[in-house]
Amino acid sequence: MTKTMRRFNFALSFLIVLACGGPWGFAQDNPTATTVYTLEPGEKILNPESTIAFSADEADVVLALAKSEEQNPPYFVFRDGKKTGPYAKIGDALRAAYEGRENTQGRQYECAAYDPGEPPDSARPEMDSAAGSKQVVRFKGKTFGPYIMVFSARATPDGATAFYTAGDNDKAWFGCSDGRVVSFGGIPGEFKFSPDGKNGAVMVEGKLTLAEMNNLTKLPPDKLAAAMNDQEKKFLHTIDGRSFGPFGSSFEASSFWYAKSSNDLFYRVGDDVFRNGARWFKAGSFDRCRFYPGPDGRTYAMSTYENIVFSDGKSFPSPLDVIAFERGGKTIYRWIALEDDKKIVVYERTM
Amino acid sequence: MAPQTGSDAGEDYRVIFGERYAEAEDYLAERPWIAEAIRLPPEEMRIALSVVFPEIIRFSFLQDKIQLRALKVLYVQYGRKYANFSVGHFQMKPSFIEQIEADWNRLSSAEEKAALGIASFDPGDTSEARKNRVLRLDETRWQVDYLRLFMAIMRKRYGNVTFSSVEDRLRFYATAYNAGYSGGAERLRRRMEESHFHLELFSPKRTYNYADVAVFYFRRLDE
Repeated sequence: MTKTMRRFNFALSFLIVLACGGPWGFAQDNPTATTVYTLEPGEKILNPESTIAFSADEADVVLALAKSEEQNPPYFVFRDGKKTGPYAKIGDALRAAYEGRENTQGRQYECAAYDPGEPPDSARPEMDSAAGSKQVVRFKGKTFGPYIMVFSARATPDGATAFYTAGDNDKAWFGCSDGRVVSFGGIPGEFKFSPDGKNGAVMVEGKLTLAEMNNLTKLPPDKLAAAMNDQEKKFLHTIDGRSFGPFGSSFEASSFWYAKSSNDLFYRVGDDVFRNGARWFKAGSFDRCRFYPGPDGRTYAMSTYENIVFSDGKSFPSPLDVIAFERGGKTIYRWIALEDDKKIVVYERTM
Repeated sequence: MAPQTGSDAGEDYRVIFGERYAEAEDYLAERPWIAEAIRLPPEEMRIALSVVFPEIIRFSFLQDKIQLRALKVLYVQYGRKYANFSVGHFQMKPSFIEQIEADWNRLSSAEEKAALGIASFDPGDTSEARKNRVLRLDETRWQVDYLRLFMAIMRKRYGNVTFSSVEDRLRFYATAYNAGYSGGAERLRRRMEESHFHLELFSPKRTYNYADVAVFYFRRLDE
């Protein structure tokens, strides 16, 4: 092999390595691991009394510990990286574990799908009546409408933005307090918005307007049946004007969602998972609560009771909690696991 | 200070547990399929619903407070020593379900299995078996099936016990559901007098008799 050929082969190999890396060319094969706490011999975690999770992107580990399988006193507490005790009563241990925390242990970490909290009372949109038996939405000094009917209105948890659905005789509406509004036929159902409050999508049943529905009785039986059949189809309309569907009647409110870790719209039809309207991957077994898309839309992780599987096919033993976030333009996955039944370890993987 | 205890089916548990009681009642009222899926004669069906009713009240209180996912993962990974946590509206523990499954495999004939439409369970203590158990527990339909199995197993194990009334039998069954059914009739009779039921996460100020709450609901079902 000549020197020129070797140089060419080296360059080709380099290009192949880059190409095969594909969108996750810079993923770490092995995550970094940090041990947060190691159980002493015979030490037992009191399960329901402990928290092993993430708060923001920080590991949030609060352990109530007993020295025996029988879970008798004395008790110890591991919190904020320090161990205290012994405590003779479980009540004293739990006070030491959770006093001063905004949230005690709980399910706030349980689902990876975004489930927004309520806005402050002062920032709730109001559905109000208007002239001519119409309705309007009032939010932060602005009025939206009038419409024949306002179906629903809800603000983001920070109270900055509100979304609403409404209907007139000839069309239905999905609007946002920033001025964006889209119209369509059909009956708007549940709407959802993204964690940053900038994206939103509404599920709509059918394409008939209120006026067309009022005239259904005038249709001959065969056309009436066809119209009713069409009305069972579902569509998604986003606040920035895109439409997806039709979907079958099995498509329901839980079939579309935003994730806590991303501002993209996801929906699932059959085994296919779609991101912003484009098919992303197929998953026979899927739980949106255990699906962690990266903020940049390139990578994802899914966890089961047995393991966590990444979009590049790498798999690791199942975590107790997972979080995905962006740092320095890269998606970071962190997860926490009990390893060898004694070490609480935080793993981090950059993708 | 020790919690106040006492057994008194004359208490109005609707008032004591307030909104949680109403939510538990609504849960069953809005899901008539649960009563149908128990597939027992009317009185037995009412007993079965009453047995789990206090747990439904408790679930209504606890559902946002326990980090359940991590507990399930620990159980699948490491087994029985992590099996002591409650799942779903009927608050069934994996340790309880392991016993139900083992007894169903052991005590019921092929004909009985066919009659109830529930086959034998995987008897192994593997992570695969535990994962499948947790997946079943995640489904309300399976919780109803486990309740059916509990009723069948109680009839088999305690078929020779004499009960003074339907309510006496309900107290016995409810106590067995709440405290475990394997310790024998004498132990269950003793446990029937004890009051450990509460809606606090920890350190309750007052505890109640589980069977009393079940009987209170049963009487209202009969009204």
